[in-house]
Parts: sequence; C-alpha cells; structure tokens
Amino acid sequence: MGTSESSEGRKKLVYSVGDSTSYALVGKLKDVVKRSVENPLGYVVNWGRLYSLWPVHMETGCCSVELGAASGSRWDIERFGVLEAFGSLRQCDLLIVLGTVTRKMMPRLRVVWEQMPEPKWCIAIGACSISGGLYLDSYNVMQGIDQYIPVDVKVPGCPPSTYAIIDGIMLLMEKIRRSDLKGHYPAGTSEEDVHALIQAKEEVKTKA
Amino acid sequence: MKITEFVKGFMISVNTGIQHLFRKRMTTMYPETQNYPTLDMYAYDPRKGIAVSGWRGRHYLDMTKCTGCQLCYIACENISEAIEMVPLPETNYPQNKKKIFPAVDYGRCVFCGFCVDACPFYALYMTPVAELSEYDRNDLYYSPYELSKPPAVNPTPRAKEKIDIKRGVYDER
Repeated sequence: MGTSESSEGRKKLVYSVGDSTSYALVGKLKDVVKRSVENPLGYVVNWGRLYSLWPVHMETGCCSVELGAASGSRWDIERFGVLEAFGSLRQCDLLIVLGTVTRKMMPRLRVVWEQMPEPKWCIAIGACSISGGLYLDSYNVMQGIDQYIPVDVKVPGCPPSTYAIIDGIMLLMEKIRRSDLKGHYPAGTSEEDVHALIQAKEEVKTKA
Repeated sequence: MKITEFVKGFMISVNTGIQHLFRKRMTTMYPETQNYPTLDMYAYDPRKGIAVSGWRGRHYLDMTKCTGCQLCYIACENISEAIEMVPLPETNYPQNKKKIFPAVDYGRCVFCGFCVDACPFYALYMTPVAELSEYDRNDLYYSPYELSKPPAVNPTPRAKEKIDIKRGVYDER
C-alpha cells in the first residue's frame, strides 16, 4: 500500500506551531540560516515573492464564495500578502482555479495561464478541478486540470472550508521558499520536466 | 454650521476610533490558533436512526469494528466513487473475515457523509480536520492504515447524551 510519509511530515510541521512554540522557532531559525548561507540571492528574491502573491481568480464554480470569505475580515488572507481579485493578468503570479472546468473553458484557462509571466504558480481548489469530482465520466467536464497545466497545490473539499484554503496557500508559500532563483521546484526543473514527469506517471498507471 | 457641532462630530469619531483599539480582534489568527467551529465528530446511530451533528472533514476508521461489508462503498458508488475496498491480507481481525477495508480518495470525495450514515457497525466517523491539501495528486489517496490514525486535534467522543434547549433539537452525543 502506498502510504504517504510526506503528508504526515508536513502536518507535523504545521501543527508544531501551536503545540511547542520554542521548538518550532529553533527549527525555523536553523532552516533560515541554512538556506540563506547556501543561496543568499535566491533566498532574498523568494522571500520577496513569498509575501506578495497576486492571484488571478478563475471562478467557474461555488468554491469562489469560500475564497471570498477567506479574503474577508474573519480569515484575513491579506496577512500573508495574498491580495483580492486583481485586474491585469500580466502582473499576477498565482492562478487560483475555483470550480468545474468544462471542455469549452479549458482552452481559455490555458490562454490565461500562458499570458501570465514567469515565475507563476497554480492552485486547484475543490474536487471538480482536482479530479472532476461529482462529474465523473462526464462528456464535457475535464477529469482533473493537472493533465493540462502544472498544478502546484491541490486543496480537496466540496467546497473546502476557509481554513483549508489558507492551509493550501501556506503550503504553496513553503514550496516557493524552497524553490530556486527562477522559481522552479525542486531546484533545477522546468515546466517541460513537469510534463515529462506527469507522462511517466500516466505510463506507469496504464501498465499496472 | 456652528463650530460646536463640528467639534462634537469630530470628538464622536475619535471616540469610536479609540473604542476599536480596545475591542477584541475579529480576525482568527489561523495557523497559530486552530479554533475549529466544533470538535464533534460527525457520526450516525443506525439503531436510533439519529445522525449526530458535527463538522465533516477527514474520515476516521475504526479497524477493530469494520467488518468489510462494503455498504460505504455502495453508498459512494453513484455519488463520487471516492471509496474503494482494499484487500489487506496481513491483517488479523476476527470480525473481518474477508480482510477488506475502505480507502478514500480525497481528490474525489465531496464530504457528503453518506458513507458514515450507511455504516451499521459504528466503524466510520468524520473528524473536523479539513486541511488535506497536498502537492501531489497521489498523496490525496488515504489507505485504511492512514484513515485509522487519530487526527492531531482531539475530537470529542459521542458517548454522552445532551439536549440542546436553544435550538430545540435532541442531540445525542
């Protein structure tokens, strides 16, 4: 059975903030010093990217209501530098896909993705955009947008609650913190490599 | 406009500003304080036919009670096909002779709770933990061993009875 050790490790990291503050602080300081000595320029640039994520909202379903609630005053995602809906695609670096992506919408989504400048990231929110969700085996709903554009973080739920969305954004911030100067994660990969990885995984699935 | 009225209005606005300095903060500082709306587990009592209210998040599977009857799988079959029965031949539970347990794909799950309603042996619960986001699609697939781990927060068990007078609802927890 494929038990995912990585997920448990990540959850420990998140939960340790509330339980034992001193240990979390020491671990964080060690991490910061290590990364800033290894790659000082990349560390500073990624620190700048990290706390000013400008999102494009691809609102095709009801998950957009939850993101609206997350940017409200109760769960304020602007504390992390994530703005509300912003006008121009050319100045944004985060694509948030909220909801069902149909066959007709997918080319538009791809156009939106390619209009954004590098470095850029993508979050898929909700069961529909991750895997098709309730519209399984549908003739006009895409069964997961990660087959067509590289998705960095998947937030499951139908729709996910606000704190789940904030957790997903923090996971993306952790990814940006560990990426290289060009914004690729893990360091040294490009979008073509990601596509090759997806194809290799598909081949493994079809063989098994 | 008299100058006294102007000063009065000005002082009122200053007063409200000062009051807001000392009020309780409305924003939930999320990653530091994880105050969930409720810590109750969503569960269903098949003998009484009463669902116990609670927040619907990740499942919790009690492997000492699961008999492998596949009723959760049948309930999920025409909704989102998230549950899959997995054979675990290395397990040795006396009540589960087929040695099959449910595994949940959270990329597909819509958290409707019908699988919990269908379970007649009190083996499936839903915990309030909803932070399940991952980098990889394959990590969203939870095996029975992962589902049987209790979550990091401590949800309340449903043993004691309670009557909610405010809402006028019988809640048996």
